[in-house]
Amino acid sequence: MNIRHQLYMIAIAEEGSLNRAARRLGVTQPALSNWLHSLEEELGTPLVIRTRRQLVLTPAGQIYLNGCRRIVHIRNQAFQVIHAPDNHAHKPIIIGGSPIRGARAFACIFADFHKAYPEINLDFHSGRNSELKQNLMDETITMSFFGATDTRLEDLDFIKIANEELVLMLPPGHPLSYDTSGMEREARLPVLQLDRLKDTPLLISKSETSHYSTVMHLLRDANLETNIIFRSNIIPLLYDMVLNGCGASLIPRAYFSPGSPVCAYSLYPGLIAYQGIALKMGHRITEPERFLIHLTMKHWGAPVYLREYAAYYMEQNMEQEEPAAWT
Amino acid sequence: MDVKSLEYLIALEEEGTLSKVAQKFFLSPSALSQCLAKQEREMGLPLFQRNNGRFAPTESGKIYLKCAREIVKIKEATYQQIESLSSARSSLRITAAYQLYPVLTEEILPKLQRLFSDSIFDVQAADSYTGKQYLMNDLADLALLCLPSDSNSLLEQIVLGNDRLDAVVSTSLVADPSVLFNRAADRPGSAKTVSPSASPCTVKPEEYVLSLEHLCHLPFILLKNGSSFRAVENDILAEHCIIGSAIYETDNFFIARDFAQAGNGVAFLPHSMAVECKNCRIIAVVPPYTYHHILAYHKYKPLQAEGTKAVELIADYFKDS
Repeated sequence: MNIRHQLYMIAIAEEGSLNRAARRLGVTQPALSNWLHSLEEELGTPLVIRTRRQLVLTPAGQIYLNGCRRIVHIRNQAFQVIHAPDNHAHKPIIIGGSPIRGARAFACIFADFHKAYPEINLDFHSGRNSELKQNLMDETITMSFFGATDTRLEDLDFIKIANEELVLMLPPGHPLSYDTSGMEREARLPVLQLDRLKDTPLLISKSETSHYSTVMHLLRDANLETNIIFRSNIIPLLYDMVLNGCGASLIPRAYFSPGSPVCAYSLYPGLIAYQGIALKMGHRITEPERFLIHLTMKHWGAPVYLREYAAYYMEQNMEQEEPAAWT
Repeated sequence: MDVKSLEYLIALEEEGTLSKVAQKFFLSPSALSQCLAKQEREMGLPLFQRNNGRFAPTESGKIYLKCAREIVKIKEATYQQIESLSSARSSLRITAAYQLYPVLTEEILPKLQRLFSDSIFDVQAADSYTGKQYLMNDLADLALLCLPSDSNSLLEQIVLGNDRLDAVVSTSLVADPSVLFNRAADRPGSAKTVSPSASPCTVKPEEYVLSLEHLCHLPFILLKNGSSFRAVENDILAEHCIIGSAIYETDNFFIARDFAQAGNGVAFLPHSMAVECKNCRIIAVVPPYTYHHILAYHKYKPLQAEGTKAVELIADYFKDS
């Protein structure tokens, strides 16, 4: 039951652009375009109207899309029925995550999950990225909150939930610092070239973090490696050290607050980390696990676009109205 | 939709041997056996067992086949629907914005069908931007649209009426005024404008005045990106300096309404739809965003008799209401 082509169609409809859909699917744009073309030829009718602003599905395209959605839905249900024998129903779910942010996310979703699945034991296991990955491979944890600079991870499936920018935070009184009061939390930050930090000590995370290699690469290019005076993976600690004037640091944007004496700069090109959930590649998501993933989407702190959650919610409602006929 | 391998396995259950199925589909038995192995690998379980050279589905295989048959059926139905769409000699194709679609199917269509009993009418709900594209690309003859402006060089457009967007939120989310007001006051630069004149604790939830700013910390339910109203919703939020803590994206106003009524957040809905929401507070958008209900058709493509009558009926209906 290969649903690759169905997923192609759904991605095109949801993204409204072949380019974005190709990026989401991890295929090249010409390949996707060719696929669509041959499909339209097979059906003898256009499926999309290519307008300047975005792709619009034709009535035929809409029918085809609905068919694809139903097929994906049925196939997922079949997977669940086949792989959910009774003895697995009460299997505990262990979520991995970083000691601070992962733990915070876990705390947010626990109550809702427990209400929906009181019989399932939910546990949290904290660790660094490399350890979490190992745990996923050993299957000692079921899934993990995960930060990564690339959404394509070796041996892991990654469900992207939010983008997060790493910004350069400068200590109070630094020659380049500016007044942050009156700024909007989400305002565009000024951009700084790293080589202007020649005389600034740097506080950097350790090699286990998801963005370590990218950061080191940037620092090497700017000849700043010798400025590193301290390494730690505890982000709140790094932030407090910046606040106390120990040096500058690259910190997730969520820590920036307008009015604070610590000011922030974007880098060019921007340094983006993806926050999401990692699973062992090929892991089949059970219903409670799916619920957990959607809860995480719902509770993630930063502005998050919840297409998936709204669709999930409607799907659940529809299912209550008409139970699957074939089970 | 590639369902070939599913069809092979369905045939395998019916025929019982690889060679018979291979014959039926002009394949070699080894290709078929590879196909089965691939499906079993993907599902992670054996789907068939061999008894005296005959193939019979396992328990998991039975579920798999049931589901495979369903998928083949969906595929056939989809292809058939598309086929009939392109071959149908429908006399009139009408597309309507989601919020106007019920009017079209319940009020207008029955009358039309009575007048032209032999004609085929094709109706479809679509976003207004999509509807306009359908008109321009000859995929529809008539369109009921919701748009802010009413001029287009290629389309004849008749304004039928006006509506405006309101914000709607479940009362359960705004039950405690003090929380709302405090949260809103936390926002930089807005402290003075939002504090209520009366002490919030003494005012009943139905009585105190709410504005959009009070809801800034709630999730927002918006239409999906690229739809004609999403741009408007973005403008409204920007105007009030609101960055939703979470933004749900839905396909149309009806889903947004259900989602808001279930207490998931704030939705923008047409006023006519908002007033019918149960257990919800309506918050006027200031300045108001009004838009037109528009009946549009192509200027340079003459309408058939059915089309002309439909225009008349629709115009009459909206004049009365």
